[in-house]
Amino acid sequence: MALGVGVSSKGRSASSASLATTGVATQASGSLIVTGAIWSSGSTFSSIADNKGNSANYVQISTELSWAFSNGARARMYYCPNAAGGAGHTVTWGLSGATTITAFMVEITGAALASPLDLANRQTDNSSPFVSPSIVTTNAADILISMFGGDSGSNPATHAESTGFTIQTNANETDGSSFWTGCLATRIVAATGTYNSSFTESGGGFTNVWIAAFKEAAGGGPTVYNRKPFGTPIFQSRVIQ
Amino acid sequence: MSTVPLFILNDYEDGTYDFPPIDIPDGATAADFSIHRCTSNSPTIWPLQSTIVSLWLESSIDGGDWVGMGEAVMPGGISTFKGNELEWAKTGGGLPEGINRRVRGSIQVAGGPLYSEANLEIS
Repeated sequence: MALGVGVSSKGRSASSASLATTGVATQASGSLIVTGAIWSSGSTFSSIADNKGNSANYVQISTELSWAFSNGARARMYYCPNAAGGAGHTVTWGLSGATTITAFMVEITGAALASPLDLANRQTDNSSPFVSPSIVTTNAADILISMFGGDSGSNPATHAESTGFTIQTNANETDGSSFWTGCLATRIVAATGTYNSSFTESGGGFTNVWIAAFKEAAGGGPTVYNRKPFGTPIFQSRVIQ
Repeated sequence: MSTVPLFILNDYEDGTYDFPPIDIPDGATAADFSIHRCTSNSPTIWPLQSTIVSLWLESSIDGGDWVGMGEAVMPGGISTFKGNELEWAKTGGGLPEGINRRVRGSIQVAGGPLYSEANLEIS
């Protein structure tokens, strides 16, 4: 099965100690769930869970990023390989105390069921366009997931990506002072190489940008039959006299 | 954006308070539960951190199954974002695509009474 993007969702709260992304219908089994969140730095990460029995299987991507500007924020990403799914699938982020938090979730199909992460990195960026670190993938068929966390006060904050990513879910301000803005984007690649993401955000100034590459499941893509070279004799003919 | 009143400014004792399904206009992309928080200018609104409001929001399409679209656990007191006190705190997410959508939800008050008001903001 080739790599593909399933459903995606988001959640946001101006003040909460836990936040669940909107429920979506994921496939019953085998999906890769990738989730990320940005929250104000007064609270620390407490837990990651979902409502389909996968809570113990979430793996952190890279390490938490925290920064002091824009009054301080933190961000993390996690993935869950070979996830059980179904209708109304939510991912819940738990914090040490109530604060402003925005969370994203995306379902990837066709990813490796075990050890799917190729590599990942993240950084803060204060100058538009806001770019992720470059990563050099080691696996030809990968899907790249990029999370962008902004601080725009625009209403709405519009996002765009310029290196071939498709924005799957987008958190915009509704009044300019309520939520951390950002988006989650994907890009499927077919060859190893050096990749990064590059975002713009209207009204954005202090941002964090993540990139993670995940491998396609073995045997993914169209089936290619091994054939003998043209002209190879299958049998020897002889003339019977 | 439209605002639908859910709970008027009042005291709410400990317990669970539901709001019934609300029709969502076709074309709307988000629905946020918005609750009035304590600020320096309104110190009597929800002043105690020990008064906890837990929120559940659900949405449906064409009268179909309800699915979660937002959950939050919110203590009272003054809360800030980007250095500014939050007067109205919103929680929610994206609405599912479709028509004939509805949103319903409930809040649970613990450590009350809760003196506040809340709306559903549709955008």
